[in-house]
Amino acid sequence: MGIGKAFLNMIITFFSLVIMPLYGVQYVRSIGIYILNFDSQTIIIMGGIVAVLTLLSSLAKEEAGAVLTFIKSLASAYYSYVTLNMFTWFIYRTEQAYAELVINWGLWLYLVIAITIISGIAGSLGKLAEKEKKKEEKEEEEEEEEE
Amino acid sequence: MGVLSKTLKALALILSLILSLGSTLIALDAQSLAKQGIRIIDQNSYTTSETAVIEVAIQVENTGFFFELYDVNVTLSIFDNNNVTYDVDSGYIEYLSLGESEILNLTLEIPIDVAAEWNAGNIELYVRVFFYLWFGKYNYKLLGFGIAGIINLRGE
Repeated sequence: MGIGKAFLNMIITFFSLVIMPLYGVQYVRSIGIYILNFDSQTIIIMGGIVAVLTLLSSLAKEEAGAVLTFIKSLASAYYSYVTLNMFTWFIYRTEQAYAELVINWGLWLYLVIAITIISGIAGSLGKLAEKEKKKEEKEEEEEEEEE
Repeated sequence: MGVLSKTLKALALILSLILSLGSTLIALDAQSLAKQGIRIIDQNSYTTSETAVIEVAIQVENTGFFFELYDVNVTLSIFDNNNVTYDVDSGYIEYLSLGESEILNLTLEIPIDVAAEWNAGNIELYVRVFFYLWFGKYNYKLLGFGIAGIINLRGE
């Protein structure tokens, strides 16, 4: 993958994992909804780590790329686990009304984590398969040259 | 390796589709439940020599399209503007299949002198209503939801 595309991937990841949640929470707060367990510092640090790992896994090739892709998926799964657990208690408070919403993500949380990790393993295997494909192509080229 | 990678990608895609579809269905069921599933069907109050009693009959109906309701818990508590809680009562429904409904009868009691203070306008009394339930299917609890609200007894 080219450097430009790798950086673009990182920016998109940072935007979706850090900027969007922060602005989203700020917006809902402006209409009177408070998310009690939300911690912006954790979002910034963990989202930043996943974004950097996205960049590194995009730039690295073959075995290193596969390992980094898998690590990125683990970091991403942990980010999902922590973030979903932040969005469990909402309070809506205005002068006229008061309401609370509690969510227990239950099986949903495990589905999100499973999808992230399985996608990571698939991505890692894809990177390793690229290496084998290159090897095969090289061997074919050498055979053609010999002929 | 290519086949394994493709199989895993297909598995991730299928799980993503289940997640998206399930989230949409739960959102629809939650909306339907919030709109018409929980109703106060009867409310009664009277006083005895020592207490003022409020009786509330709450009907919980599974008005959803797909999910069943498990472990429905309804809790009422009465407290004043100084956060002194006078009484708590709760009801529990183990399971509600699609279209099924059940009525919970809950009672709150407050000391008669507190009721007199409230009548005189010296204190405010609030009732906190808390619903907690699980959306599920085939005996599997998938997603837990809790909704709480506070009502001023004067209706303000």
